[in-house]
Amino acid sequence: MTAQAALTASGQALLAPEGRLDALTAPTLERDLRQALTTARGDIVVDMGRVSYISSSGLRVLLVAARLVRQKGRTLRLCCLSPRVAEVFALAGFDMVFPLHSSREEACRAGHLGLPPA
Amino acid sequence: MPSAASKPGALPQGPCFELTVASDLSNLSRIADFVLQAAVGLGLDEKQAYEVQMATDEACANIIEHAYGLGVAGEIAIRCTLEGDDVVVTIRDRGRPFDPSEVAEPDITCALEERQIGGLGLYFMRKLMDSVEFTCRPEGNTLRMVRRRTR
Repeated sequence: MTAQAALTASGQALLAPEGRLDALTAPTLERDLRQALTTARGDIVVDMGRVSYISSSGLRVLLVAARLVRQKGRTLRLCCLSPRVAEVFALAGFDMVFPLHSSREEACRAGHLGLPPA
Repeated sequence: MPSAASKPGALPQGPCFELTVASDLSNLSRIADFVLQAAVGLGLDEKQAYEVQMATDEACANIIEHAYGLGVAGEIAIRCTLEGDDVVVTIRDRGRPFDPSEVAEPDITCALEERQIGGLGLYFMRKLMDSVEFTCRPEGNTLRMVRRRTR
């Protein structure tokens, strides 16, 4: 699980974690998200397409990061959730608090336009 | 490969999958592989097996992080069996006892800022399984989770 951020042309950070997002790997994502927050000027986009599993530890990291991002007047956006991961988000009601997008492009475009969270 | 042992003849009757691992977060993926294999072996479909895997992952992460505490040596023994039409996952540890009544149920409807950070793991376990029971005795803690094959 390594998800070091790439910066888009408009200053958004794009992270793409892989594999299981559980109690073991969540702290690595948290570190990468905190780092992305200091380097990016725009929104933070997390491409979840290669995350096969997310536990409450992974959700917790996303929640904490989303609050930090919000405090800076920006938005944490997620895209490409697999059906299994999407089910966990729905179970926790997290689909209501995160802007979820179907593709990286859509997430980056929404961020670039400064759209409010869904 | 996880060491899934079939022990016909032992109590309870029928197929039985067992795994004992050290209390370490690095074993979570091994536990997940084991439970997926056991749950399918006991007749659950892929989605049900994934959900039992998730409940077990949450339970074991709690044991490693809170019952023993990170860096504290200990063992976690997991057993998956069939009782009638129920898949039963029994998890034993010798860490600190856990009182589920001390964990507040999270409000999953409130906004980002008001969201509670904790309590989700236990919430998932209860949502994904048909019953979740904790027993704490001087000789150790036992968590028994049941998932019906048909529900």
